[in-house]
Amino acid sequence: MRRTSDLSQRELRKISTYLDGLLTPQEADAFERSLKNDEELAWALAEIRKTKELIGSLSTLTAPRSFALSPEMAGLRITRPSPFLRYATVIAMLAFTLTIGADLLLNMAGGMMRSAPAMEVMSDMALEAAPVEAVGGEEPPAAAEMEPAVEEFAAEEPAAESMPASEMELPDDAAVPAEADADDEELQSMAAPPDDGGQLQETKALEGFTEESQEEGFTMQEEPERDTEDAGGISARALDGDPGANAGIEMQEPDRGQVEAPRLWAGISLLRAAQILLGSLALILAGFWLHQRKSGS
Amino acid sequence: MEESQLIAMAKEGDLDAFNRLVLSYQNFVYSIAYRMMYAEDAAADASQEAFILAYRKIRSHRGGSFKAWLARIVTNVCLDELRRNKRHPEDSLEEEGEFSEGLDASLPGPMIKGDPGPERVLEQMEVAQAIEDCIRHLPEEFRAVLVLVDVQGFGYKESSSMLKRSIGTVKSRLARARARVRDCLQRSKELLPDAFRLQDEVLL
Repeated sequence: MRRTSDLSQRELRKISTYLDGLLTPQEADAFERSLKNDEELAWALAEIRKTKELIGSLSTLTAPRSFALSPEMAGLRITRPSPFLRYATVIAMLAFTLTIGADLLLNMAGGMMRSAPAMEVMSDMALEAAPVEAVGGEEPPAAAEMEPAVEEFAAEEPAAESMPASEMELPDDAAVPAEADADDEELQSMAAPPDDGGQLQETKALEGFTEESQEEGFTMQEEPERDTEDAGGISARALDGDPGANAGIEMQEPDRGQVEAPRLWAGISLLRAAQILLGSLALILAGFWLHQRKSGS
Repeated sequence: MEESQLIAMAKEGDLDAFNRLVLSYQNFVYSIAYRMMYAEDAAADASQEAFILAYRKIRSHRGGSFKAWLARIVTNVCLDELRRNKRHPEDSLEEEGEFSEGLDASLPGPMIKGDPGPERVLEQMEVAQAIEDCIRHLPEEFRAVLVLVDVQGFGYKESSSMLKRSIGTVKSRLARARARVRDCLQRSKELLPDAFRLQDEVLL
């Protein structure tokens, strides 16, 4: 078998260069002339030409995967979100959560504070009723009617036993006016009615007693911190039977609400403002953080 | 978007623009790397490294053919790797058993015109494998020249620049590479189409 590689380096180079059209015209003419006289050279030229065509027929291969560069491959520095931004976001989130928690607690506490007086009223109704009846005992027929009621309340409500004995001894009619007077004075000094009309009402409260006013008296007992003497005095106002007494009581509720509510609502509104502020801050910081992460990647 | 615009954007550090160039040229680069190394994994690694180098050096691209510039980079990466493997034979790239498997149906077909039937496709694949096998057994320096000039179609001058060799050296190595491939193919001449069947004897 003839081998083209057996040809001299010079001949092979001449053949290759001729095939690639890189010989000068003179060199090409000389080479073509030699082909006519050299059969082996002509054969080799034909073989190399075919080989060149075969090699050139090879197609481009398909890459097994994408060679697209990632930022890391390209040596790009990845900008990570600054630790400050990350921590600030976390802190803002935590603070936001705390304000929400505080808000919930305050709301719960507020609800309990509102409901607590009502609970106490229920439990103290019997206790409060005693002075009322004592005051009402000024009129013999009414006192006679109330005595069994007091006994009933005392029997039904064990808490009544904790009342001072002097107050429990309601049947002592003679002592009642004096006590009522003393209570009235105390009430004026302690309760400090908002206006003089209140004093007048308290004075009038000693003048009569009706079933209607008794009910109103119970309504008055919503003041939880007032002791039985105080309650008795206030009940006395209601005993007046004057609708103004009831109105006065109704006025008292908003008054107390105005004492507690502003403080409560002030706290809540501060919390609301803090929630809005911290929530917005957390969102903004989180947005910055995410933006930095995204741009960094 | 035109290639020149993408190159300009890549020079400004636009990685997305560069990656569009990568997608355009990755088959070309991988083909050079594979035929220089004849090992799939090594060729893929060399291609990836070539693109990384290209991105880092793209500011040094002074116009001209971006394809030739990439070919120069991947050729040097492959030659460096081949030299390294010569120094450390234990890391040889040889994948004897994978040669035929590494060449899939994407291998050539221009010898046969029209719509080839299954038999012709198979014949094409066998011919392509025979050619690839012959190229693979060339010495590295011959193989590099042959791949650049005869497979990729670069000129002597470009190839000499890529290989950092004189034009005379390129001419000599190319001539000898062609002669060796011819003799190699002669051993499997029954695979070649009639029109390309090589002759043992002079038919004059």
